[in-house]
Amino acid sequence: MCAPSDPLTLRGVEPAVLLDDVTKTFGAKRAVDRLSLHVPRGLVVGVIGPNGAGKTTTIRLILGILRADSGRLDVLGGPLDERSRARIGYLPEERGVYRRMKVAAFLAFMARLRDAEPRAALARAAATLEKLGLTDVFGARLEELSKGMQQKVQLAATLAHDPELVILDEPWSGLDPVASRGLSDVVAELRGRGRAVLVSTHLMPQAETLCDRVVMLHGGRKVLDRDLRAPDLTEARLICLEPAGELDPRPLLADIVGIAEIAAAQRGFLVRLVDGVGAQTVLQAIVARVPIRRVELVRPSLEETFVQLVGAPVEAP
Amino acid sequence: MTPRRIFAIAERELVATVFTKGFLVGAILMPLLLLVGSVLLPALVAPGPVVGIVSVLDRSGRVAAPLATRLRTEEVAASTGPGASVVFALEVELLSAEADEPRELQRLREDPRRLALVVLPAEATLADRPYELWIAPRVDALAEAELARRVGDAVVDARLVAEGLDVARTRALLTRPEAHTRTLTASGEEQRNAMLSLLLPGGFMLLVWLGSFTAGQFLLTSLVEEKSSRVMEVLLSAASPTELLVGKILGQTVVGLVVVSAYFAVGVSALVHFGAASSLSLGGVALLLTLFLCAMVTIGSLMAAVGSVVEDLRSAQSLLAPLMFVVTVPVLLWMPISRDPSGTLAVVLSHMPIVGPFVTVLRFTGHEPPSALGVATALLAAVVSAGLALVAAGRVFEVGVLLYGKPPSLRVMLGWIGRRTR
Repeated sequence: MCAPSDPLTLRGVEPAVLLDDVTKTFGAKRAVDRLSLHVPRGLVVGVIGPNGAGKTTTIRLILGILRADSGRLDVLGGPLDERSRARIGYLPEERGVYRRMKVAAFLAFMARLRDAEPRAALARAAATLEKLGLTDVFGARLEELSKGMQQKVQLAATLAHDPELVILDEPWSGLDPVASRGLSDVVAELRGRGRAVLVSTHLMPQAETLCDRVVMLHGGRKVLDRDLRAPDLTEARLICLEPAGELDPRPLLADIVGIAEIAAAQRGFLVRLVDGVGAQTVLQAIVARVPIRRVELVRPSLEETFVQLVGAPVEAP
Repeated sequence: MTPRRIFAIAERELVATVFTKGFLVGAILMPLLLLVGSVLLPALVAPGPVVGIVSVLDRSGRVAAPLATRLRTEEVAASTGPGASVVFALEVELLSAEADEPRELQRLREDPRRLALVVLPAEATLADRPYELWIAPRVDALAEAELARRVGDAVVDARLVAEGLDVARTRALLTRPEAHTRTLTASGEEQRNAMLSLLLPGGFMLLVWLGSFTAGQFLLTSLVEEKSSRVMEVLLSAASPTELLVGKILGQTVVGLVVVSAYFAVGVSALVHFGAASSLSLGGVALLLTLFLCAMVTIGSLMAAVGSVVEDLRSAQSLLAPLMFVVTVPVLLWMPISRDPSGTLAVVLSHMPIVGPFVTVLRFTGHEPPSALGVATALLAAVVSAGLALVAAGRVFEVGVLLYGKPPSLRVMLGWIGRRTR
């Protein structure tokens, strides 16, 4: 359904992550099925899908926690090795900290595991924590902090060694709205600095807001690979129409082939297209018959696309 | 494998374990208390003399005099001496043969100064004739036994006199001679404390056992905590399972060394205090250290394998049951192995996986240490089995550490050792 290569990866820069035809099975279960995926530098790529879609397994494959059965997997320019491992920042879905450790000691330990200089890592962590609204906690034991605060510390630990590839698994889980905004700022800054960011989530609206591109998984397979920055209008199944004056366009458009339904909206009308009909063709027919003040092709949301592709809404974890 | 990462993991493991109240109490304070208890306590809590009146109602008329002599304060104090378990400071009251026994018992009951009433029958000097010893409740078991011994000796003295024998001369003739035991070894003669040579191997074996198991338990607890708190996945994203395993075992080995050193210091202090420091040699300590390292890597690996597949200590205990059964073998067979360190049982067990290092300690520190070749083969077996345990644990660890939910069976874990399944 989706091609393994796409324009975003063909910009002369090697991708931070490259999966080509990767498969991973556990016994009889195919957790990842012939998955191809590129995470370019300077972009935020979302891996979305319901529980059991293969998101976490994909991440574990990238991190080298699991080994792929087949396929090619390059991380930061080649197969994962000690050097590239140290250049990755990972925030797992299941947050975990050493509860009795002090924040500074925890951050320094995590930085040492990534071969980073602890003092510089602590300075970076302090900056990240400030963006997330958490200051003066270095001397506190982690068990003294709330769960949300612990998560912020963990995010700071993820970024403390200034990784080139950042992998965030369900990063919004447990964050309050202010911290969520802080997280978006942090991710935007990472993108601005040319870092590759891979975000795994089942929260499609958040992914749509934050990511430059999303890859949708279902049953271990890729079912959608969408560039959110350059909308593909061929996917549009809805036209938002605002005629000039007080005109009701419905009688004028009733016989256009490809229109399934026209409904009045708060401002104008929503024209729903028949599946398989090109939006551009219908749009041209509408413009030819109705004087227009504003017309807009509305691409379906990820949630709608998912339901369309898989036939079931995304379950909460 | 990156040494820096391994050392970072080991350092965290060491710091997180050692700087806790539980460790400081169990591994540092406890040996110190033992030291105080074994060396200083006897001097500090030496009991004072047993003071009081002992009444003697001698109906035979033959025992009272020698008994009075034996119970005389000066003599008793001299024969037991300071530091002895019982020191008497007695006043002896000789009653007439017609004294009223119930009245004397009444006095014993009511007068707190009175310690005992000895009632000797008219035929007290005849063989197998018992006597009665009434004691006040404040007389403890040791004082009671000492008092009975003195009365018995006085009765025997009276018998000897009745037979017309010289008491001192007869007693001297009956005294067993003392043996000056020396062991003749290939290098010459050496003096040996028989009891010490029997107990010392067990002490050293328990030292290695205690160190490796204490640290192994800490390793298990640490792994279970990391799994249950879900910090494991973060660690695995930064370090390989092998680095994690080796780092953790390394850190806990240092913890074990701290424990062993603390208890070893107590043992050495005790040996010096009792004049038996010659039982130790530099080579012996080096071998002990090597065997501890082998035991620690073996036990640590097995604990890590179990800790990697469970999320709580209760599940770990059920998986550890077979291991615990195996490692109690050296403790159960301590005496037979110590008494016959060159026997088939000792030789075979010292080359077995898991128990080998403990049995080798028993053999090496026993009264008949094995030959250099015997030590070398046992040491080689210990090193090889430690290496195999580490490799096998690594296989289980890298699969098990990502598992959550119901822990696998031992059979499944053994299956993981045979193949790479990550």
